[in-house]
Amino acid sequence: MSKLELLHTLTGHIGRVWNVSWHPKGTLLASCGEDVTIRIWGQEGNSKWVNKTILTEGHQRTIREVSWSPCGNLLASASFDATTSIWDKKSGQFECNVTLEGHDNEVKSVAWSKSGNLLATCSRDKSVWVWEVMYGEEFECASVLNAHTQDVKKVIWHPHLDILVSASYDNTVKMFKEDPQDNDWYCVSTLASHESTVWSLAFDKSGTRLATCSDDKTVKIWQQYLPNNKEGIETPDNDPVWKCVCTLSGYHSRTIYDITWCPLTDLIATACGDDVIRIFKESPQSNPNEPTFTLITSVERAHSQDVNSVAWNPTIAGLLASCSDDGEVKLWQMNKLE
Amino acid sequence: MDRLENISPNVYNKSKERAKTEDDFNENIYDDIDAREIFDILRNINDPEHPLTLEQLHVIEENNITVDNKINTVHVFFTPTIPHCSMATLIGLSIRVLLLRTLPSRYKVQVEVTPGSHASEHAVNKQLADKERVAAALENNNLIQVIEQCIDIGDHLTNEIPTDDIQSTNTTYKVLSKDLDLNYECKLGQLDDGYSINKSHNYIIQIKKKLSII
Repeated sequence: MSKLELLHTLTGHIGRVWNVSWHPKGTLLASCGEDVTIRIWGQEGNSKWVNKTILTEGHQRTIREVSWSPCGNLLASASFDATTSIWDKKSGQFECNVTLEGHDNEVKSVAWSKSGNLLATCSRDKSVWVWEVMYGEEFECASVLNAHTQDVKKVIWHPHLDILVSASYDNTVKMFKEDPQDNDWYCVSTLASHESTVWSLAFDKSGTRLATCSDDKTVKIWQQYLPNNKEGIETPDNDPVWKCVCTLSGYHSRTIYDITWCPLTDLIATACGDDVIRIFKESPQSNPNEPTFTLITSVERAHSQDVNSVAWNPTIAGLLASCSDDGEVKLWQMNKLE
Repeated sequence: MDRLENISPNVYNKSKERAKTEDDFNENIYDDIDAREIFDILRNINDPEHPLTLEQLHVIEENNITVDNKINTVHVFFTPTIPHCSMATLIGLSIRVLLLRTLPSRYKVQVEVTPGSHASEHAVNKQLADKERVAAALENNNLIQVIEQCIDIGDHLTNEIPTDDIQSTNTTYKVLSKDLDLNYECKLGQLDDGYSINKSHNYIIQIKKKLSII
């Protein structure tokens, strides 16, 4: 029997908290929401988690998402005010020194590539922008991708490669990469199977699998098939092909707003509009081409309103952060009761 | 608005006020929120085009409202007056906003177009169900002003408050209102531009601007 135990409830935000993001070292947690602030939480000594810093005045409207650079020195924030802010700590305190403009309306998501040299943003204006980070502090728009037909909800990068993935209100997921010939970014594949908005997505640690979650109340697991794969899956244009190999349906009773796949424990956690946090694990004898995942534990009323975001700590196995419309951020620990 | 989309809509009679039973006055009985109560909250929303309420246009009907207090859900179907009504999203948003402000936060509110009553039914429903887009829309000042006009139901309360008794905003008063079926001991706490009425056990109704008589 496994169990998710509540460690701490972090209060301070006023109104809906949209997103939580762990520092790559796992020592700090950033959260953001409709109160137009970013709060940074850390441990006092070895136990209690406390609010270390409140970042204000970077945005005019709701802050939808925050994301740490892989080096941990920069924090990017995406806002409904159509801008993305980059915060650094050169002066000793977090300051917003760069504001990225260009999107027509709400920026919904922001993500750094593994190398930290690329940043992606997406917006309700249906576009995905790729920004090149020059000398670690200047940002230049490298590409504007208009492949989606609707509001783009989320962008993430592949854990090792410069491959960008986006999820949209148009029910699809799209993958983008750079063409080495002309340095132009293009859509390499469209993952269609969800029946409503795709809210979020997460790679496993290898980057050969992707989990997506949707308003259609399902989670889907996608498997990458390389050219000349032994399963005989056709790969036109010699590009890898992604196939949906598993659909988790019947577990969630409302929209699934976020999903996180732990690189340390391989567990999947979901944030759902029914206030529940659920944890899934791949079955030990699961066939990679038709994997089975089981619900190993769930917390009913994990929050008193919709759960908006979940994130596994990158260095402490089984430590999960969540946030909700109820204004709270919570920390949970996965325990195995033998 | 340059011209009206639906020039002469059908207008229906208003329904009678909810009959009071003895139980309504018994403090020891916990009365759950029911469909009639949701109907009473929504019936006086103004139509964006006509000086009529959603009840009079049969956009809102009591039997199109479902409340489940076990799983805390409220489901409202609304019926646009014409199948190509461009106001459908605005009306749906007004319903959502009013319910957001009046119901306890534990309720999950779903607002949908009555099946078959609108040409873009699916698109309207999907937009109204997307809380992120609703949140962004409600940060739009122009839009929120229009919505405020639609849901400005304060008028219906004004005459019902026994003004002679009101001396301070902190004392408890009995507030009587036919339209909102508020018949409770209440406290009036001052807001920036109006007053809020605090139903003692489970919800707050914010009435803006129109309580100027106080």
